[in-house]
Parts: sequence; structure tokens; C-alpha cells
Amino acid sequence: MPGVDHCRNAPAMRVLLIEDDVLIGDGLVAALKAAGMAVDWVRDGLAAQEALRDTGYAIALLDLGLPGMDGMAVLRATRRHGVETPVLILTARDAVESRVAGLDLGADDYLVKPFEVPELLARMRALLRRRAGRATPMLTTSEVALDTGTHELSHGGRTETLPAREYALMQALMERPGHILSRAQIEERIYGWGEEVESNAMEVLIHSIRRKFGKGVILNVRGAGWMVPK
Amino acid sequence: MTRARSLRRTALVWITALLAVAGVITAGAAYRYNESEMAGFLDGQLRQIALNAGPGLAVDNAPTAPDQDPEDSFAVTIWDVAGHLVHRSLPGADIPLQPRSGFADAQGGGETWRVYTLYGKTGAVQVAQRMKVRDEIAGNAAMGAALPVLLLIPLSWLVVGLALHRTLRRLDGLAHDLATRGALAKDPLPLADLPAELRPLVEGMNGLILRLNAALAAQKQFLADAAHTLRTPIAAMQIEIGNLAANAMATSQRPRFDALAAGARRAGALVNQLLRLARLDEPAPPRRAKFDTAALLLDCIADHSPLACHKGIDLGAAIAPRAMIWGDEEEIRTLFANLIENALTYSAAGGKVDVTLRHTEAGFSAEILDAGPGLPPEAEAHVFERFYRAAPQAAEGSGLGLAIARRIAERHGFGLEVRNRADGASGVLARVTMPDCPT
Repeated sequence: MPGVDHCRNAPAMRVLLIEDDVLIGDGLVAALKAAGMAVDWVRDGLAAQEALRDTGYAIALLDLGLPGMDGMAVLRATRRHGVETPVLILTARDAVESRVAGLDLGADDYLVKPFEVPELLARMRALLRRRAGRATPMLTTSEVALDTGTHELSHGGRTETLPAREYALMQALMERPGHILSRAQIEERIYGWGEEVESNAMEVLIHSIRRKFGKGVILNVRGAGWMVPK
Repeated sequence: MTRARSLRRTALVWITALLAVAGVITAGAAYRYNESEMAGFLDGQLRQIALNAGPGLAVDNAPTAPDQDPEDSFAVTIWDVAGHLVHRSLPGADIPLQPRSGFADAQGGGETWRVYTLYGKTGAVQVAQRMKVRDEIAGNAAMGAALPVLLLIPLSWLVVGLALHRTLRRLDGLAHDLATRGALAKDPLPLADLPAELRPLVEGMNGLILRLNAALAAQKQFLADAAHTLRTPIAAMQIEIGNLAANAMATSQRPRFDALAAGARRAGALVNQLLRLARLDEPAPPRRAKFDTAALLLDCIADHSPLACHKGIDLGAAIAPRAMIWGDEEEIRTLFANLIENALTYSAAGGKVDVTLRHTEAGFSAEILDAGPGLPPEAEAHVFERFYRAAPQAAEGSGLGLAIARRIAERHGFGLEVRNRADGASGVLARVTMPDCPT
């Protein structure tokens, strides 16, 4: 995982992988193990339904096209039994209808094949965060982590504690990653009412953050504003 | 090429010609018949006068009807047995006595006469009438019989033409239906209101449309299935490449590894685009909703800013606030994403890409302007073709992005143009024009 070790609080996180394709299954088991997770792999719908009764899994990755019992049916049965394990659907089907149907049946997220492993890991992290109701004080994206308790920013293998204004700026951006905030929107977050703002004050702050972490930590869209990538 | 033969013209020509010939023959026959009838009648008159004639009164000023003419007068001449002239009613008409009883044509006083001569015990009577007058009377009577028929000919042309026009107008409707039909329209042509003669033709066309649809559907299904099936092995490949990434990080194999990863990523993207195109080709209309295209465009720009940053391209935006349009948000996101991605793909490091959204009179205009090398002159006409790539072959891209963009624009009735900049600088301008959302 790039940058930050997000799993330090859950070293033995158990993941249930439900996937009938041997190539993909093999690859995912290796990738998830490399990310520090314990993986159980089942290959058909009936076994999946059985395995999902075990509520010890932090997350289940579910392929939809399964032999024996379709993934949707597995999901429906599981939710009917009251199993709350977060489910991330992995599928080659991407018609909007099946996406909506999956989410309606109680899946937590939906990832279309082919995908890249970092994308999968990011989705899993986001899912767990959402389930935990932001128990952790971390604001994270795929590249950046901001600790709202200690004001530490981590990116590209570096971690530094930010001064108040720089932290406020990063917090504003990190709360809506992938979204461009205009100068006015950011200034509103950083400065108090009636506070005098110098015209280049924000450029100074951004320059300072970029000097510590590199240019890619905050992206600029000329004429629109600034953002951090998702 | 010979000129296409018009059914309407052919039918009209034949029917009017037939009516004209029938009319002329009828009129001619009526004329001849009436004329000969009239000649017989007039001859009968001559005979009656000859039978009853005595020495006349020779009154010059006998009252006449207003339409009578001195010319109309009969010439009655009487001879005694010895051949001496006893009486001549018209002094100028010195018609010689015919040698035998009966009808004859004779000359007298410089005119042609119809003559009836009767020899009796006391002498001979000859009654004559000017041929000119007889012809006139017969002609008038015959004309009276023929004229209505002659007048009916042009009238019948008019009626036939009108009837044909009304019948064939339904053909025009069919032609219009066919002309305005979308290439992907699946429903058969309507049979109601069609002339019976055309039904087999249209039914045949409908059969053809059905078979064509089936073939097209099979082809699309194959494309979708193929792309779909390819997803799983490509996914497996990408996962394994991800697994290798950790180990390949520091080795001298890194560039080869990166190329492999890029290839797999490209294959994945291509498969996704093929599936997207297959879906967009389905005739189902886009699911429409009202949304703010300004916000959507900003989102798309944000999505692409990491790529711009990675490539060292200055990405700028000038987006007018609140631009409500009507459409499928996901499809329009794809449309903008493809155009922005194209601009970034064909821009070199240090390049500049500008995205603008303006309000126009009819709605909104979104422009994506790059400062890349631009399109080769012959490429502008081909950019929307599937798998066409204008760029140097080194540039990444499937050649499907603009085909997808155009499909989406078509489905929404948006305008889409992609051409070289007109301001002298090199680069490409892509413009999407969207109608204002009807409220």
C-alpha cells in the first residue's frame, strides 16, 4: 500500500474472498496477504453462504457470477439471515441495473473488473472507515493521510506535523477529496470573520506544504481552485 | 442513370390519354351520327315542300323569326310539262332542272344546293336548299351533342389527377417515415392507411427490418460477450501485475514491468470502452434527469487533475455557474471525461489545457482547448470513426473515446465538434453545445 500503513490497528483483519475464477482468486489472495490481511477463499455460492454465517470477517469480497448459487442470491440470503458483514461486490457486470440491484440487496460497494489492486484496497479501507463511523481520527485518500488529532500529514513516505493554518487548509481539502475548492471556499475555512487576508496568503500556505511533500500533494486547477486527489 | 419512373406520372398519363381518346371518339361519333340524322331530316323537309308546292305567293316581306336569315330560304321552282318555267320563288337561284325525280346536289347562282326534284303529270317541282345552311344546321346540332363530352375530358383529367394525388399521398407518408427513420429503429413500418397494392412491399420490408435487427443484435451481443469475457483474464493479469509491483520496484526490470502494467491497463480500458459503446448503441433512450452541468464539468476536471499534474500540464477552468441541462448524468460525465482525457493525452509536458463553460442564447457551450500538435489536415473528418487515431501512434488511446463521445452527444441531441484551433495556435478545440433545460 502506498505511503501509509492504514492497517496498523487491525493486523489480523480477516477477509472472505468469494471468487470462482482461479486466476483472479490466486492473484487476490496474494495481493491481500501482501497487504497484511488473512484471506479465506471460497469458490461457489453454497460454500460462500456457509462461510458468511461466520461473522468474524471484517469484509467479504463477492463475485457475482458464481457456480451453484448466483452472487446476488448469496447476498440476499446472507442479509436475510441478519449477517452484517460489509460486502464489496467484484464483478464483470457493470450495467447500471445490476449495480443498483447489488447495492439495493445490501452490498456496501461495487467494483467492476478489471480493477487495479490499489483501487481495491482503497475501496476496502473506505468501506471499513464508513462502517466504523469514522472511529479513527484519520482523513485518508489513496495518497495522503491527515491525522485530525495530531495534525500530522503523511504523503509519499514522509510525515510532518502541520502548523495551524496549513492544517486548516489540508483539512478543508481532505474532507472532500477529489473535489475542487475555490479560493473563497478555502479562505472561509482558514480565516475568521473580518480577518484581513493578504492576496497571496493562500499561495504561501500551499507553497509551504508542497515544499515539504512535493507538488502532487495539492493539485491546482487554474481558474477553479485546489484539490487533493481521491 | 435513367430518370426514375413515377407511378403517379405514368398512371396519370395513361388514364388521361385514355379519357381523351375515348372523349374524342365519342364526340366524333356523336357529331357524325347527328349530322347524318339531320341531313335525313332536312331532306324529308325538302320532299314535303315539293309535294305540297303550288304557285307560291312570292311575298318578299313575310315576317321572320329573329334568328332567321334570308339565306335560310328554300328555293322552289316549278316547270310545266313543256319545260317552261312557271314559278321561281328565289329569283337569283337559277338551278337547272334535274333530269330525274329524287335528291341531288346541284350548282345554281354560284352556290351548291341540295335539291329534291319531282316530276308529275302537270309539270315538275324542284325544291332546293343552300348546302351551306344545311351544313350549318347539322353542324350546330352535332356540336350540341359532342360539346358536353369534349368539356368533360379536361374535367375528368382534373378529377383523376386529384384522386391519384390523394391515393399516392399515403405513399409520400411512407417515404417520409422511411427517410426520417433512425438507422437503429427497430419497430416495423406501419401498415395502416397503406394502399392494398403496397402492403406486400411494406410487409417484405418489415421482414427485412426484423432479420436485420436480429443480425445486428447478434453482432452486438457478440461484441458485448467478447468484451465481457475478456474482463476476467485482464482483471487477473492486472492483479498479478499489482502483486509483482512490490518486488519489481527496485530491479533493473522496472521499465519492462511498467510497460507491461501500462499494456494491461490499456487492455482493461479498451474492454471497458467497447462495452460502453455496445451499450450506447442500444436504442434505449438515455435516462434523463435535470442536473447542473457546471458542477459535473468541475468534477470531471477534478478527476483529471492528477493526470494533468503527473504529465506536467497546466489545467485551467473557467466554468460559468449553474448550467441546468436535461440528460443522463453518467453518460455526459463520460462525454466530458473522454474529451478532457483526449486533450491531456495529446498535450506534451508543459502544455496547457483550458476547459470553459459559457451560457449561450440557446443553452450552454462547453469547450476543451489544448495546445498540442493538433489534427493532421486529413484527420478532422475521421476523428469520430471507431478505432481511428489521429495522433502519433506512440500516444496512448484506444481510438474509441471520440466515437463514444459522439454517440452520447447524438443520444442527447447535443452538438459536438472536434477540430483544429482557428486562432492560429496549434491544438484542438472540442466543443459541446447543449440546449437549455426546458422548465
